[in-house]
Amino acid sequence: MTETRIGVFVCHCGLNIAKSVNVKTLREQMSKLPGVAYGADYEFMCSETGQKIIRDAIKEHRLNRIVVASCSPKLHELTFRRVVKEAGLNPFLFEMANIREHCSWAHLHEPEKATEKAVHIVKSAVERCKYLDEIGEKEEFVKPSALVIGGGIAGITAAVGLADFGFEVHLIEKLPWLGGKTAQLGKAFPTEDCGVCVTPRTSEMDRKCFYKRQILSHPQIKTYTLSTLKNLSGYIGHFRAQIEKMPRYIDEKLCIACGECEKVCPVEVPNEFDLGLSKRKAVYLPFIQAVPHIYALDMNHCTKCGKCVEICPTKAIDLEEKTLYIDVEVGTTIVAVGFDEFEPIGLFGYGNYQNVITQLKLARMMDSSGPSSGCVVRPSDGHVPKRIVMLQCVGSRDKATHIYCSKICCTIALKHARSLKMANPKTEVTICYKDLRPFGRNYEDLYTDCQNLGVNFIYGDAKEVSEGPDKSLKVNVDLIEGGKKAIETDLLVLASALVPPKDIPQISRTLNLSSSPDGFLMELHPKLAPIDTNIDGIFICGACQGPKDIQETVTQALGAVARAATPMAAGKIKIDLAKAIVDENLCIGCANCVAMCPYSAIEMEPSGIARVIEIVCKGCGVCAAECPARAMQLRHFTDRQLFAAVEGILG
Amino acid sequence: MSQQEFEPAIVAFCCWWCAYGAADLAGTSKLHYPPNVRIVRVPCTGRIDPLHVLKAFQEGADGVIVAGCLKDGGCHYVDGNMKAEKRINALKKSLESIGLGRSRLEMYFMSAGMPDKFVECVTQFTERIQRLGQNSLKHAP
Repeated sequence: MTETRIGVFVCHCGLNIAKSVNVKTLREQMSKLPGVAYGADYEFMCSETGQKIIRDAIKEHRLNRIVVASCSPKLHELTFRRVVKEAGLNPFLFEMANIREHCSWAHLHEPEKATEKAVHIVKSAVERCKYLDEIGEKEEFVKPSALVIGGGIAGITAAVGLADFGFEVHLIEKLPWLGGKTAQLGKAFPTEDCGVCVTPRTSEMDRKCFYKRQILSHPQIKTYTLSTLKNLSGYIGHFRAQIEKMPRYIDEKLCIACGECEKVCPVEVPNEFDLGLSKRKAVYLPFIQAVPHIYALDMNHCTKCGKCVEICPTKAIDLEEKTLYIDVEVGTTIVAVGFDEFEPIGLFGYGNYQNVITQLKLARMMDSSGPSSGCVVRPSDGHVPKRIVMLQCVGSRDKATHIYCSKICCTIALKHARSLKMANPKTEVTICYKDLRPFGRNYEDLYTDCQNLGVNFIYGDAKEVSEGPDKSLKVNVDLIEGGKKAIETDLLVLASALVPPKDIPQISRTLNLSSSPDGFLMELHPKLAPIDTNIDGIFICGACQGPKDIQETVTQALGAVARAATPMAAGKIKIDLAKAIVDENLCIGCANCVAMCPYSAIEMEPSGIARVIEIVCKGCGVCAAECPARAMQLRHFTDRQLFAAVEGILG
Repeated sequence: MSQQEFEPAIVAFCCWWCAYGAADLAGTSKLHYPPNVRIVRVPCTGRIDPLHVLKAFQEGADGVIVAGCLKDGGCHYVDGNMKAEKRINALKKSLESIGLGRSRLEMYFMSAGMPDKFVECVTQFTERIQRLGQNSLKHAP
């Protein structure tokens, strides 16, 4: 057997590690350990120079096992595996000791204890390293097809992007129509074009508008409305998705959107698209530009009177339509499920006083095809308000609701204030704010415009709102610079927070994705992998990852296109074989592992011996822990390797 | 030995997808917890064999934490965390009967986005072990 010659490389990470961990002591102690043939420390091991130090040392000192003590392996494990491979070693003969996230940063003010802990962490890696085995890889075919979940601006941008690459795209949207929140915006900053028009990507001018967009007729895109993802199995290259398509009760191919059904429908309910500011029928088209331009029937409110069925000239309505389940196989998945506007029930009179609305409701009113044809009116009496007050940070930057900043509400308020002032300079518009953050490029112009147009800015913390007999409102504000102020207004507009969609826990469960504490989906790394997720081949974009404006959403969606296209364009990916493996001599054929495996990745051979299907195995190791004969092992996390890690960490 | 002086050695088996990530985020957020807690990475808590825990006690751990993904669907590997919980509960009983005590082993559940929960769990567990004193395998009276 070859002599074990371990190289230990300690990273300072500038001062990130070196500030609390004595890297020199650490390197000296580690160099003396049995099996360690070489030790070095350097400011940035991940840098090109740092990588060269490792490569050179492997050759010069004939090292055959490498330990790098630095940041979390979530960051640079793959970097160093590559470095080790470049120097001719198998990439799995490498172990990373996390002395930054798990040590220097967590114990910043206890340098002695941090150093002592770092010694244990690196010892653990050194001990484990001695038992590491070479692991090979296998090439797998990637299906040139993608699933895009969410038909808002992020999902549409991603779908069109991938389709333009030539990949087949399955776009699913839970509502009967595409467009998401963007379609509701009326006008969207900074260019003030209508939300519906801005929704598509504008690579070609004739594709700027929904109608001319051809998303529905794009040969590469299959759009499924009223659809959600029921189940996703498989892995990058070969995801198997089951789409649940709820009945529309109207044949998408037969409906000609003549609207006869709507005319005879006796049911009237609030229109969700206008946030209840208008009414719709049980069979309806929520707004005039809706895409696909076909009606849908809402069975929750339908009385099944049958009038629409009778009158429909194309016989498109079928009240007995059933839910469909469609199976598709895709190589990658993009999640673009967007956000909800927080419903600030009970805050500042919202829900109690009719004339307290949210910015999204105001946007609906300001939309020329909205409930009041572009005219802002008081919900209580339909009168045009002379005074409008906007309150910022409702449900954002607030310990009682959401601690995060919703980012776009300041700019939305400024956009609306400017439009209101430009439409009618006599309207008194007041913005009450604690901090004003028009964050994007050129967004400061909105602020300056508002100042020039005479919008009032009040630097204060709104406390309570009361209603007068004529339904006008009084807002009591604690001024930040001291004192109090009462503002009277005809209409109060709350800049309500952006929150994750209600069904996001279910989505993340179905896809196995991680969420942040704020409930939004979590990226693999905030800086280095902002579109990737914890699952290979699944990418996120848009506001489901956190509050974003349209510019950022589109940018990220195009990024997601690139990320998803990468493996699909290559047509194949390499999969390492750090998977479960059976020792045929030890296997007793009890099939416990078969029963335990959550992926059906283990089969019993006719000979009565278990066999792992490597490409299906995800490497959890449940089978290995269950095997009574210790015949099953998880490569790279064998019992021996884990014992060694424990010995080292306590050594 | 007084409580102040006793610095227990605590091994935390953390699953790669959740608890390990939560510990990473705790570090990134500069949250502090006792340096007595030393993390061993496992792909999933479902990988943990009772022998791995016993090995830690044999090597001198005063307490062992098993930290996995959130219950009810939080597990990256479907339900490895629930399989682990069964094993850990059974092992706790065995630890009680062999005299090490069930309190020296605990399983926690968290998502990768819950650094506060990680810090809270390991801090409370460390305080508990400080009260319990040394692992009697290591230093018999």
